[in-house]
Amino acid sequence: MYAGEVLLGIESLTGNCTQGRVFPLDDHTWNTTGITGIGVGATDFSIQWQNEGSDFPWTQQDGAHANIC
Amino acid sequence: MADPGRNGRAGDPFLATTVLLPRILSASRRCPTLATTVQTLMAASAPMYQGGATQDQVDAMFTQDWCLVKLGSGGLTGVRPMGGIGNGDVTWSTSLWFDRDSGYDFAQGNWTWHNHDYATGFNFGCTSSNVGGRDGIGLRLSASNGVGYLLHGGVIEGWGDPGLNSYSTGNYGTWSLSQPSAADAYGVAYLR
Repeated sequence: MYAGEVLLGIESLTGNCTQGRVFPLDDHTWNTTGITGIGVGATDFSIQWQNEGSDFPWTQQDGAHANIC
Repeated sequence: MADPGRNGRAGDPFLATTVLLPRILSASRRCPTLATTVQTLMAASAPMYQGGATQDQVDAMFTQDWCLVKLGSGGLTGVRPMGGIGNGDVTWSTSLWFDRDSGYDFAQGNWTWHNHDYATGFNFGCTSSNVGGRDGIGLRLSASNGVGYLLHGGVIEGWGDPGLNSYSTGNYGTWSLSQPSAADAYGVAYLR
């Protein structure tokens, strides 16, 4: 994979302004790896795989933050 | 510092003003006639990235052509080594946007895998024509109050290096995902 873009449309659930922060995540597998699932938790992100192949730990990076209403 | 463009939301006495304002501005500011959605924004920005545009150029397009307001700060480009292997670094750029017309906010992320020279520097069974399997890509938005946000649309588009479009399984092609899964116990969903 070389490059790409993610776009999310969001709005406040409460109607009040809230400080929000974006965390981009990435996890890589190799061509011998079959992805069997994706896990999304409150604070993390993971993929599950089978077969051989090495993957790096998922990475998380602190991104943009703003007051979102 | 207060974010720009925050007046006129629900409960604000100037709500009527901001409902009318975009229509007035649209005649003179080239605001889009297309609805501003994750799909239309992706259609406008992804070709720019693929053509080599910088994040600043994409930001300018969102501001000038779509009349979006960039929120907050910290939308910087950073690099985080993956597993300590410099050859596999990924650069992310993230930003948050507000659309005066719809009242919606948008979170945007753009990633670039620095280097496709997998055969150099490490060996996990990869060669120059064996570049790996699927990657997991995520963009999470956390709220300081823990309540979170309503997700009303999401789309991911990825693309390979056109100069290396020779991998037999087509991994260097362009792909797009926009069908979300059911939300999990945390109220979050994913595209696959």
